[in-house]
Amino acid sequence: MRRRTSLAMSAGGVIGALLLGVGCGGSDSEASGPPGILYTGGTSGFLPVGTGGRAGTAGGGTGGTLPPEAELEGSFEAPIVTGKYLWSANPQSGRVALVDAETLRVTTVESGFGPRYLAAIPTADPEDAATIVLNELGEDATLLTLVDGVIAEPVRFSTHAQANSLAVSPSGRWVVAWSDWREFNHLDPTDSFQDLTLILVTPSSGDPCATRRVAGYRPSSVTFDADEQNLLVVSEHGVTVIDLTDEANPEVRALVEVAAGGLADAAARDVVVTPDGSHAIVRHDDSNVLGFVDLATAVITDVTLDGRVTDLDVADEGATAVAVMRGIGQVAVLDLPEAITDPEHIHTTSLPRSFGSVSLAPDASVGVLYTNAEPTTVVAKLSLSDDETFLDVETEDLRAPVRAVLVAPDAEHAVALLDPPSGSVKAGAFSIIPTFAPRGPKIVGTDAPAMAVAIAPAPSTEALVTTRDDVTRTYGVHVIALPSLQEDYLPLVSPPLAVGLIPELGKGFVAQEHPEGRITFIDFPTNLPSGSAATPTARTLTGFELAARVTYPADN
Amino acid sequence: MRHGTFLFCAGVLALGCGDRSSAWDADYESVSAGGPPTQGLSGSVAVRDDALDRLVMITSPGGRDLTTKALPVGKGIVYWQTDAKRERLFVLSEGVQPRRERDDEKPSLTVIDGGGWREVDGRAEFHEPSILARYELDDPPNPVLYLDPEGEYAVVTVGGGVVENPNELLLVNLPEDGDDEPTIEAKTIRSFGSSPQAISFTKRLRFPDGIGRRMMIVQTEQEVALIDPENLDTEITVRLSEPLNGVNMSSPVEVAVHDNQRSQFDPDDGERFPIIAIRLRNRSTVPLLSFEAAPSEAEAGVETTGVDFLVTVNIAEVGSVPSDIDFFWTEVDAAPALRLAALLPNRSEVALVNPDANYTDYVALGAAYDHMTRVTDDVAVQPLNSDVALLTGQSVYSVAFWELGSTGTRSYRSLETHSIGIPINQIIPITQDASAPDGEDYGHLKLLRGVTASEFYVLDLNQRQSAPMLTTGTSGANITPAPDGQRAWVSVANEEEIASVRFSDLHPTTLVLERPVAAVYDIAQPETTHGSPSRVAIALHIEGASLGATVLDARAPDTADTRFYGGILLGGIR
Repeated sequence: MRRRTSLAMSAGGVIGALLLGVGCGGSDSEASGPPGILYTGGTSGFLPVGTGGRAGTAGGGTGGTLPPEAELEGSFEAPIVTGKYLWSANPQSGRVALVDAETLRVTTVESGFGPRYLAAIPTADPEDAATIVLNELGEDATLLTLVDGVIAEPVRFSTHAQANSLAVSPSGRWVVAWSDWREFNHLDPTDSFQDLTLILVTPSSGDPCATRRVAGYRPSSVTFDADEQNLLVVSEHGVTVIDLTDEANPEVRALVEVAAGGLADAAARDVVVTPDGSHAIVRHDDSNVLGFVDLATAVITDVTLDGRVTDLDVADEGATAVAVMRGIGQVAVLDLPEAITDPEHIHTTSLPRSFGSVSLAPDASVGVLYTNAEPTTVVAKLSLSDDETFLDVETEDLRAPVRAVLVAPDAEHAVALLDPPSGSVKAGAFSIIPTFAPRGPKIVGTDAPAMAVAIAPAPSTEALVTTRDDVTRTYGVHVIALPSLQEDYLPLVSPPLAVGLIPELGKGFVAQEHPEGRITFIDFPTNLPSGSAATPTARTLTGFELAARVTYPADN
Repeated sequence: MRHGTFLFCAGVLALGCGDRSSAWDADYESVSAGGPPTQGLSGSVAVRDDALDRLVMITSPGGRDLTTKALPVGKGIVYWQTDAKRERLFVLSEGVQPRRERDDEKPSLTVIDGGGWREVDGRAEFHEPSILARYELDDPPNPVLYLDPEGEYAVVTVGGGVVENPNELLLVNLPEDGDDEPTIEAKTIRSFGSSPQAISFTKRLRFPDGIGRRMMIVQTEQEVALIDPENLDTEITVRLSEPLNGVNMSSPVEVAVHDNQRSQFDPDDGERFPIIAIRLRNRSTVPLLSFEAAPSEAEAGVETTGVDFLVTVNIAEVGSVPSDIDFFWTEVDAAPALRLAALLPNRSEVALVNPDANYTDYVALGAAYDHMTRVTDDVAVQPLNSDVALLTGQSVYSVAFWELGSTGTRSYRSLETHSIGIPINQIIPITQDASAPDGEDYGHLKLLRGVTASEFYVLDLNQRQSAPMLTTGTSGANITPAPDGQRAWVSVANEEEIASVRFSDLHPTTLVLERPVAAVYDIAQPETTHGSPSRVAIALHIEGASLGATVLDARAPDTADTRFYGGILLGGIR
């Protein structure tokens, strides 16, 4: 199960780069693609995800003989966007390149020893930009800020060892460096990864500073509550609540157990924290019980549904959760927090066929049901609107097995990544599904497996789908105009690494693998959403750091 | 061997009674280094006489007459070279090494006007070969000289001591027509651990700061430097690699420059600035340098120094190691568009890079061509918005005419191939003679030859025809086009036969002379009494210490109408 990715991670810039389900754990649920590697997309830094390495945190139950549904994870090695700027780290040179997406001018700055992970930090002035960089080998983090077009002196913070993930509070005031155990290949039972480094970026007084705290065994997620009063760390121990009200001395206020079994069933459960930080919702494999944990009182309230829950999704607005019960072909919509105590706020409907996963629109107006545990070409649109269409289900046949579905931020469309159907000569496919308009989905066959998706923030007028095949060395990006569904293909020279959009410039970008750094910027022609005859044009920038190696006359 | 000769010609020798020149005692020195023993210029022939530290300049006043003039150059000729127009000679001398006495000659660079008959304001005038300038150098020069094709600059490097600074360049500012005093400036270029490997000069380019400047481009093992020869402090260095973790250096082997200007462009569409492409050794990436205006601190009242523009570097991927690169105009949407072409013989393709978008398109060529020459200006029918290129290859038995064009955003090519019997490794251009009568300008011809082929081809770019010329049994023939662009001379070292190939009808005329020929030169003469241009061919014979010449009519050579001169190196010795 998943909660919507914090949009604060890509502050001011590309918002709406959404996540895809990717195979992990059970092999049957894995999508076909480059051997051994499955890719997820998004501008918030989502990278290739290794298969089979995430046991215990994958979503999905084990209904019948079907494997679990696929979940996705992210990392922070890909470039990130702040406003009109892209930040890209080069671990080898120790520099971070700042690319102005409007002029393609590149500025590089020394970050530290082995900069690798980045996260965007929101700034008050949209013309400014800021990012935090984790220097993996130096075991520290660097705060880089661009103010009035000039990069300020970097600020360095020591971190704990093996930090590989970053969480940024909605306002950008706090950044937490933590260690996601799922990124490591060989684990010892004593590898607990419990350390956290809390970086106060904008203190009320004094200079930015960092403090170290400890959470439970092997954290799996780090989030802030809506008013940034508490930091919530989900781990196998439970949920560690860290009080941030005293910025000089954040206090570990509580470790809330999320299940009666404590650590015993940690591998078989999934925990997500509600956006307001009030509750943690626990789903257990092979169980029809959802545990709602009040993080303030530690009281656990079990809510029993009619069937085993294979997927649970909580909308960004925090007031709606959708639980999919594949085994009995039903879906339950829970009004939060009322559903915890009042069954009247649990709305259940039967589905015309078996689905195991759901992807929700951020405003919870619609959800798209699908399954990737077995090859299924059909998806279902579930209306969640507060009107007479509530819980209406409409199926669509996408003609190809579904691997993952992403709903656009404006909820008007969804993008589904597909596997090539039997008998197809194509290597992959994807589909654009109108969720409300009375139109059928557009299905596009691709010459390489579709790997990543980025959709513009509301109103979502463009979407990008990258394709990648390392065997045939076929790389490209499909540009989709919404709502016209015009689709154009642009080939790429290098394997795509990350994809995103820069709405304020009317551009998209695809970062690619290249030792010198490579990004292709895509200009969307005017009127593209309504079906412009003009095709998008691309401009590729390669060699970020070469600009730093140009030496001008003395005193220039 | 003494400067004696058994070949006499009237008027060559004159000895003062009781005042014998020491030159008569000087041993003849055969030329073994620093270039060939003779050089042909447009109006004269230069012969090295190293023993006497001089050049003997041969001109013709008319008919079959020759005159000689000796010009002193420094002791110990290290290197000599003509300029692109073949009107000047540059001679590097090491002087007396080591110097012990105050008056021991220092190293030097001597610039010589080759003289001879030249057309000035429609009239032929004779200019005496003369020394334009002589510069003393502090250190012995290296046997290499970099000449500006526009004749404004020359670059000398010095060395040979216990410690040598390879990055120290001497920039010689050459005067036009000898009116001004030439100047020499020393410049140590910025270095990041490498030294110059090649130097070239651009034409005048317009930069974003509004200044038109020429650039001297210095290629080192891992950098490219752009230096303004008019202001040597203006030096921009682009480091092409930063060795990390054992990554090999990126070494530049070729630099292509384009001004990115075309008359069809509307200035209102935005300013366009030069683009530079750099071909790297064993790399499939081509760095592209472009120029843009710097952020406008100057507008805020802040005084700026140095250059007021930025160099943007973008790397183009061309898919394979290119053998040759150059900029060409193609046509996109009925308008000219600049593309960087990179020949990929490994793939029998050419990559066309859009330098703005950094997008590469590939065009199949069907053969492993490895060299391309822009011939747009040499063909009679020139496309409006695109270039025409001639493609050749050292392993390909054909040549191709490639007319670039495009449909929409994809490139197509009009490729016309012609089979020929030899793989080509040299293309010899024919001088376009603007003064030639209509129909007698053969600038549209190219001479194509291979390495060891016993034939060469005359390629007609207009007719797209190639005519083989067989040099039977003489695979090492020297082929030299005449400066007036009307014929080519073919000779084989130490053979008595030479040939003239007339371009008007490709008629070869074989001439058997009386002595083995070392070289053949074609120089101008005064107009005939009928007002038609006249030229004479001079076949040089070198036999040990002896230098002789056979003089023929270049336009209508006839062995029955020749004159022989012997003891040419005795000329001027009294």
